Amino acid sequence: MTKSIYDQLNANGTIAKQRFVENFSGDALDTDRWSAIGGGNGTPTFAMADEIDGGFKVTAAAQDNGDAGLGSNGTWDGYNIRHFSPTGSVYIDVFKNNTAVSTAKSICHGFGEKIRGDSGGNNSALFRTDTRQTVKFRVRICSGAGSQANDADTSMTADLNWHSYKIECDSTYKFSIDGVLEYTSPTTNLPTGAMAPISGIQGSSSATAPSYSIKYVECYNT
Amino acid sequence: MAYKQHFIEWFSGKQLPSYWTKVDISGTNTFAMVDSVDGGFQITSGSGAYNRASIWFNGKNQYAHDGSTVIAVSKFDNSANRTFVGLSDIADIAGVNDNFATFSMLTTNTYFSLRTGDDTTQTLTETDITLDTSYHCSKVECGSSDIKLTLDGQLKATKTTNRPIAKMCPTFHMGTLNSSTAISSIRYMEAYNT
Repeated sequence: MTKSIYDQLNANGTIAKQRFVENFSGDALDTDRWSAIGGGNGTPTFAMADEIDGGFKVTAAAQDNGDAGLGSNGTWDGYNIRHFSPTGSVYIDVFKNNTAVSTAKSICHGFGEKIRGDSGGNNSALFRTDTRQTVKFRVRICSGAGSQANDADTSMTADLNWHSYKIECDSTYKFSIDGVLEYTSPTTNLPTGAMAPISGIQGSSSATAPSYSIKYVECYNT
Repeated sequence: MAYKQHFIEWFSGKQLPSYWTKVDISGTNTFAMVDSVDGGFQITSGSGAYNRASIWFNGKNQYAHDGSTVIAVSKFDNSANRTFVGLSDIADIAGVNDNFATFSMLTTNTYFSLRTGDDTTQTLTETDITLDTSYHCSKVECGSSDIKLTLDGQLKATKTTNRPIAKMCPTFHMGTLNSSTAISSIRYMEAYNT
């Protein structure tokens, strides 16, 4: 029996590409791997949950545009450490919204070139919810030029349960929830730059502080 | 069978985890996560004579000299560069009195090699793979009677001489062989006792 994780993940002779795995367990967030920051609107909180299967919780201030997020750069507008290809990579997480869609203009998670709570900017592929649109879980792709032409509902009504999310980035982008393919993009208006795992919130004027929890992230180039 | 020590590093995220110790052995060298696809982590040597550096576990030697395996995906720029990746009981894998078993990328060689030290003498066995600047997967298996190097899935060197005689830890060491900057990168490392 092989004892090597490498040999279990890669065919013999394969030179492994970049991979990232985070289990969000332990005393505190691994701040060597992650930046946990806000964008300057309100005071966010970040905490490892003391509950079974609790993962890590991100909460933004209960105010319009209250923001918070996870990424790999120390500044809200800086670029992450972008190890993942826009034309050959996979993002997987286990994620849940803790508050109703009405509490945030955006709660997003997936690949992005920057830490964003608003699901905007360039070069990203995200699952999200948006109080200004529908109560569905949604997908959005921001192209290299910032186009949001690929922006759609999934079939799933947003809830407060844990779900497994997967984004496959290739010549088209495929978005799956709990193993069900929910959206396949066209070949146009896709990211052209490298990306990194991110998640974030942009709050609404709701009196409830919006939050999400995340307990697993895995990314790899294909 | 009881679980034995096992370590995996993906070299991805904001910065190198703090359980690694970064060592400037000579000169001022640069340690950085690389902001590019499949870029991993990189050490850039200073431009002084024989400037060199390592990341390692600061002598917390949990891996057996006669029963362990270390796997890495790494590369070097082959410009007057020496890079050793594997297990070692010293950060500066350079001279005598070192125990180590490493995949060796050394510009003064023609081929990639398996390099080991037995606390007194260090020697190498070259493979038939010519040096290049691409990523390669190296697997160094430290057994009770020999040490094997498998490169990109093919057994390329077996060594029975000058094998380490003491426990070691994961180490990525690089440096310049002259007074110009050298660059080496790593994006995966795994070590375990067998």
